[in-house]
Amino acid sequence: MSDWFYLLPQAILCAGGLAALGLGAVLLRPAPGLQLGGALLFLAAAGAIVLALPAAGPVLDDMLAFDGIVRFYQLLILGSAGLSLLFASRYASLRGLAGDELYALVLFATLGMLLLAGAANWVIFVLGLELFTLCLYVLIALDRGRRTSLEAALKYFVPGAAAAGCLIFGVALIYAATGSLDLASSLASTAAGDVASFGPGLAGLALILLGVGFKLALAPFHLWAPDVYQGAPAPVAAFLATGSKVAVYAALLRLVAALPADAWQALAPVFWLLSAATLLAGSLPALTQTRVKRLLAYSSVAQMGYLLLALLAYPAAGPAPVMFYAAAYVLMDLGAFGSLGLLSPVSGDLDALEGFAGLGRTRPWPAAVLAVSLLSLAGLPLTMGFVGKFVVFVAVVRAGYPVLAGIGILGAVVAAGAYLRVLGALYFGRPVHAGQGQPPGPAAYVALGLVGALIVLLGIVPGPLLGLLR
Amino acid sequence: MQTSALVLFVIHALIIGVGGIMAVASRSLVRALVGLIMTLFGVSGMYLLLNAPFIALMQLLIYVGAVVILIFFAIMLTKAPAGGEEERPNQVRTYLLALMAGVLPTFVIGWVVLTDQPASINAPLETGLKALGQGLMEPYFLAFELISVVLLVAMSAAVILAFKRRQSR
Repeated sequence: MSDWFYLLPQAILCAGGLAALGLGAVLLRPAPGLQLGGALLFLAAAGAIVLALPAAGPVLDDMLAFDGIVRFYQLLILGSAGLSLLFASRYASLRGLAGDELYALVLFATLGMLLLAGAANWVIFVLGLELFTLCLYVLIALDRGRRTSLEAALKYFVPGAAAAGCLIFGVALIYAATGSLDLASSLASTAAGDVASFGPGLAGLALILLGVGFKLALAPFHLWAPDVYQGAPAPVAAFLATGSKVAVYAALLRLVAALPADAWQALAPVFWLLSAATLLAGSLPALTQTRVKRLLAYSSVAQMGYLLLALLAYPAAGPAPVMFYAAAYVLMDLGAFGSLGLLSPVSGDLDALEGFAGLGRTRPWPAAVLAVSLLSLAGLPLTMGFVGKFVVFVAVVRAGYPVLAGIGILGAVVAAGAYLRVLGALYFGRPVHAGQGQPPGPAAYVALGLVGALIVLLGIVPGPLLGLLR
Repeated sequence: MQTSALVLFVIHALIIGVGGIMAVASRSLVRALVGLIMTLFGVSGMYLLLNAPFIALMQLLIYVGAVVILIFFAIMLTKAPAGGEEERPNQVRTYLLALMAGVLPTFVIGWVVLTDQPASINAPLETGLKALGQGLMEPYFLAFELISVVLLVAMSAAVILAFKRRQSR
């Protein structure tokens, strides 16, 4: 089978992005249904090819990797993009934001994420990362009439550019130290015993970790997250919180897998500190937060901490915990941000806790999915979040980090209190304004149903998926 | 041969240094830009010394020829006062930060170059144009094409952000 087949999903997404832009140029006002249907069709076609391609070693002159893990993450990314679009289409057309750019940018961003998830070369790594970040800058600022939206985009753009600079400098150092841009072989020769290349190689790795840590909102670099999530339109925040994070984790997972043992020993304490700091920095501020979007932002920071825990346990426990938790995280955050967008009135996204009062009765379906997502984020039984946290904690304790598991459980308990406040407002608060928000439309109902059902279903019977990942 | 290379190196380094100081220190935007052009010319000369004539030519074409002219246009079109009303950086803190920003990369790059010298430092190898093109179009074909996608997205993103929406609601 020719290597070129492995480029097909990416080529389809690129063609889809161009088609969306072209459609906007030819028809002055394309019907939103046509745009949404077309974009979903391209995503589904890419997904079908990802499913059908046989696993292989690095292809295309060692530029792309395609094994079972990459396939899983690419499907997750495509699913996250599709569900975000389902949530976004009516949200955007009600607010006059549903131009061709929304669909084109989501497709191009998905292309970047697929490339990052499958990158086997530092050049592809950097290009994929920059491609989707560029799209996200504009998607965050999609509602250009709103000050908070522009402010959020700027707050993501300026430090994001600096982080990209650090990342590229790190790649340059690794190249200088090892003479190779191949991800696996450059990392392997970083620790091949010679001291000369070990120092610059580690410095390069540290800079790369800094750049990646910013994109993931890991603890010392997470300060942008609350402002950006609060200012971005809710479905865009859903895409930003799920697709981009999962793609970076896929790359990070391959990075950790390619690290030789002594380089891993040098980096493991760094990961330890990062995940402890991220867990605390995500969980503690959530307790006093009365703005729900900021609360969800902090919660997504904390979830990054759990994923980092699972990554720390990867050399001992294999990839199943980190992959399962990534899937749970995608569903929970899509559900939370997506249903928040559906509950919001056109005048602006719901944010203050009082705005949610009584919505459980007036808007039962979106409120129910929001509630299920919050319960899952809190890690209550019968949800996917519970199974995910359980699997991660078991793996972490087995890998020999009991203190870290303790910090994680502490963070989960503290954050659960914050989620319960929102649930209380949803179901026991007195409705403030009746008939707020618009009917979500059929596309959003499909997304709501899928997310809600999957969170509960995989929470009750996680066995098949876990078996598949092992 | 060695001496003449050294002399040329010093001349180019001086051009780069003086141009850089001029770009940062002069109060007029246009003069600062002239300083930038000087620096870019000097860098192009360095590429020639490194035995990379093609890169030197591209440096002249792209940076001196296109990027700087673009900045000139930006200054003219935004009607920024060419005389410059830039604030004078007279605080100690600014100088300290600038010094750090200069010293840190110098230190890191110097460390890498001193501890891990590539063979090409002592005797620069000329990479032929054909080899360069083959490198871009064969192993790095995917990256080469990807850059065009990134540029397309960046360009359309700039258009989306800068222009008024043609349909409202």
